[in-house]
Amino acid sequence: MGQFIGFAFWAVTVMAMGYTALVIADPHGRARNFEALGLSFLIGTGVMTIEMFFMSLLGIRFSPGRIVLPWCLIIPAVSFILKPWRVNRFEFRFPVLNRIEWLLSSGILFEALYALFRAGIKPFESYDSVAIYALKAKIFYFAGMVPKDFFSMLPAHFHGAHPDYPFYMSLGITSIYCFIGAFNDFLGALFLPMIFCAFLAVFHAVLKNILMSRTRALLYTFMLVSVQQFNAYAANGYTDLPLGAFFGLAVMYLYMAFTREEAAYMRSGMIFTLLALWTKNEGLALLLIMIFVVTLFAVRHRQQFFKLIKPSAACIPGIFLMTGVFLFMKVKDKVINENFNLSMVTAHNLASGLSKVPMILYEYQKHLFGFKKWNLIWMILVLALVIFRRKIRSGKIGYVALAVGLFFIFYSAMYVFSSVDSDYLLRTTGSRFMLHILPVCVFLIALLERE
Amino acid sequence: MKLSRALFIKLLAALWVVIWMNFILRDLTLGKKFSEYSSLLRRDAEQRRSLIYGDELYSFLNFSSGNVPSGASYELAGLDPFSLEYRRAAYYLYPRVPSGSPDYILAYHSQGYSRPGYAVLKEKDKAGLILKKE
Repeated sequence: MGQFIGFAFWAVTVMAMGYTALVIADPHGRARNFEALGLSFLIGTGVMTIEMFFMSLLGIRFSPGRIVLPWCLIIPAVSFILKPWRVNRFEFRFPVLNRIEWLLSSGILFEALYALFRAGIKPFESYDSVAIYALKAKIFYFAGMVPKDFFSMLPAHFHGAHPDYPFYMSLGITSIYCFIGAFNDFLGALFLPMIFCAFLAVFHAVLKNILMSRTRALLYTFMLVSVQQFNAYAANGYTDLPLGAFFGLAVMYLYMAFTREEAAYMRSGMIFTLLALWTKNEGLALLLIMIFVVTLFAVRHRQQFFKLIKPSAACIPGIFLMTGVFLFMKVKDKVINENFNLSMVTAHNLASGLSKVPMILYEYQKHLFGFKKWNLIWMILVLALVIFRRKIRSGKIGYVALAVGLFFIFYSAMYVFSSVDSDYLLRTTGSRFMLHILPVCVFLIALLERE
Repeated sequence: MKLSRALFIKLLAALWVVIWMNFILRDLTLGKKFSEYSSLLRRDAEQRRSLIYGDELYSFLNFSSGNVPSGASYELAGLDPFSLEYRRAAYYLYPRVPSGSPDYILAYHSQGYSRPGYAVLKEKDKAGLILKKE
């Protein structure tokens, strides 16, 4: 019983931290109701794990009291300055749904509950979870922090535990252990499906806001949640779903910033780019994609860009600070990723890697027709891109399509340059990498079909 | 006959739902998820872990963690270091850490296992034995 109270306290703390960050990023209350709740949870997990990382750098051991302590000052200060009670974010009314909306809502609810059930009924057991994320969470919990010798200790004892991976997932699970005061990986396993549920709430709310149609927003949310591969990764302890979710939300908020010229959306987009960076190494590639897209927007719409970027500028040092600190630590301890790192980007690897292109294209083709994992999603995407190709060149949809295009170029380049056996790499990463772009692709389909 | 856009979307949606339900039901029935879930629901936390890890491996890991102190180093013999079972074992046994020069050798499914400089500490039926550095 005590552990469940601790778990509830953890959830409330995460929400309070996230809500405070949301009030700072979006003081005028653009995000409301379930979107605000979902954002509070997602941002809260990011804020808490980043705080824990910096606590470790300062040699402070984890405890609920120490994690909450700074917020006893931050929350009153933010409340005093921004007076969040002036904005009415929460006005819940039970919506009147038609028959189709009931069916779609039931499907979404089923998948969300099913993911929570699957995760909570067993301890961490899948390969990467026990070899990497849950293992690191256990190490952090027993050490009371990220140990000072972590980057050298981990590879010395645990082959393939990837010390170079960012700590979002592991520290998120550790935070649960800290608040419940025990190592309980049945409760720790709930971290991922809770991220999944919060993401669904935000994804649906943003879609509804953009498409101005609840039915369509429910339809596309159902489409995403019912992709078998997406749902499978909501409960297996891997970080590919959070990365895809954060990148998806970053692109969606960026699109809203471009179309509505509201800086709050730009800040939300930046926050989720930072969270993607904090979740997996691939987040760095996604950051480059975002920088490329924003730069293109800045060149084409200079005035609007400055209107968006000036009030959002405070987020930029945050992104560079996180990137810098983490990269510095990895460089200092000579931690590199064996699958892909910048030393592999050479003319020799490019020349030899070009012969892998047919194999890479074959891998994409397998997913295009992989109904079991992907249902019809990739075929619908291709169909939508062909039918509505003119829309891509007009309006702001092009920026979303550009992000998708750059994603495939960057990830394909990674396969081309990598020195690892490409058959093995494609087999073990192909279907997971596609998850990183899936929410953006569903968003793109929704945008194309809307008009 | 010209296919209207609305009808096309409806057909696509219907096909989507059929594929979705087909794979969920197949997973639950043919993939035996349903029987696994109902079996898990009837067990407590320890029994669930035992079911997931495999009864024999779990009982050996439990036996090992009871006899090897926290922080000690070990080598796990009898399992491929790249196998899922090995990863689960290393995860379960932490804060005991695998090492090339271990204090203990956990010999899973290896009756009669011996190594110079190590003596048998405890034995667990057919599941395996623990050796300690002399």
